[in-house]
Amino acid sequence: MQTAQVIPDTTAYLLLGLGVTALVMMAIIGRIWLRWMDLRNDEAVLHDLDV
Amino acid sequence: MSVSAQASSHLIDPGAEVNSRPRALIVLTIVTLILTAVGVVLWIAYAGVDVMQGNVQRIFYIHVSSFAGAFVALGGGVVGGFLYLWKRAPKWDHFALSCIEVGFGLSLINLFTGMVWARPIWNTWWTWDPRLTSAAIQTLTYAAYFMLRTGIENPDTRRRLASVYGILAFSTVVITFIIIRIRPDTIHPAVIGASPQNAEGGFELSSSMLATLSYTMIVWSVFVPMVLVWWRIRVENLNERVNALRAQILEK
Repeated sequence: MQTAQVIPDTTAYLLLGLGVTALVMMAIIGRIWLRWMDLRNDEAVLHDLDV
Repeated sequence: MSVSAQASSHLIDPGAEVNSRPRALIVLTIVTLILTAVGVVLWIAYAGVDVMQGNVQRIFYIHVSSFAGAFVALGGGVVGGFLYLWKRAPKWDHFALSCIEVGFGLSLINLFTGMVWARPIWNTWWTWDPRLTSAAIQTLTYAAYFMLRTGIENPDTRRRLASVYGILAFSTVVITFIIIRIRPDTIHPAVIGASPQNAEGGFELSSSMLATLSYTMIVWSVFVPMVLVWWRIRVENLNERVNALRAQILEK
């Protein structure tokens, strides 16, 4: 008689891994975006001062 | 200007117009998002589940691919470092910095996804295995790169030392890559090629798994680093312009 192999339920760890990946990617992209917005703001202020 | 010409000029030229959004970058970003999403669909719906490990095995598509992406991006840091030391043009330092920042992020993804996989398979989040130790040293070495840059005031000295450091730091990436092939005592499995004799948690790659892994590795080692580095370079170019403007106002 053949017994069916039970696949371990490790889905929670997969979701945790995906969450961590999403978090790091958001940190990379968020850092780029925030720095960009910050510099654009600085540039606008400097242009105003220059005028 | 053609899309490819536009891409190359904006990638390496800090004087490139930062006000406009280069069409090539927008196209590349959208293509990368689509390719990444297709990759997720492939490893959920096509690759199949490993009967010994369950769904957590799918994390390897990100774990391995993020290392490949980090390898390429940090390799870009070496190229940028050499070119800066040779040409002494700040644009190459911007390129190296952008590559290393992206590579560092991808290294973190590689490290964290490995820990998450290890918990159900090795029954621990962390062990001082040669591979894990070298990956941790690699990540910490690149974290120190940013501290080095922050600690040096003079721009020329900062760029010169950062270039040398970025080149030398790549040795940690090479060691991390080869260590499971030269140290028989590691328990880290090799996904591609024969695993070390003590490896725990290795699995056989079916043809659908191999196709999915190859696909995600191409996306994560070519498209993801390229698009992130390009956006990051634009920030450095803008920073350069703001600094020039600031100096100009102070001179008045």
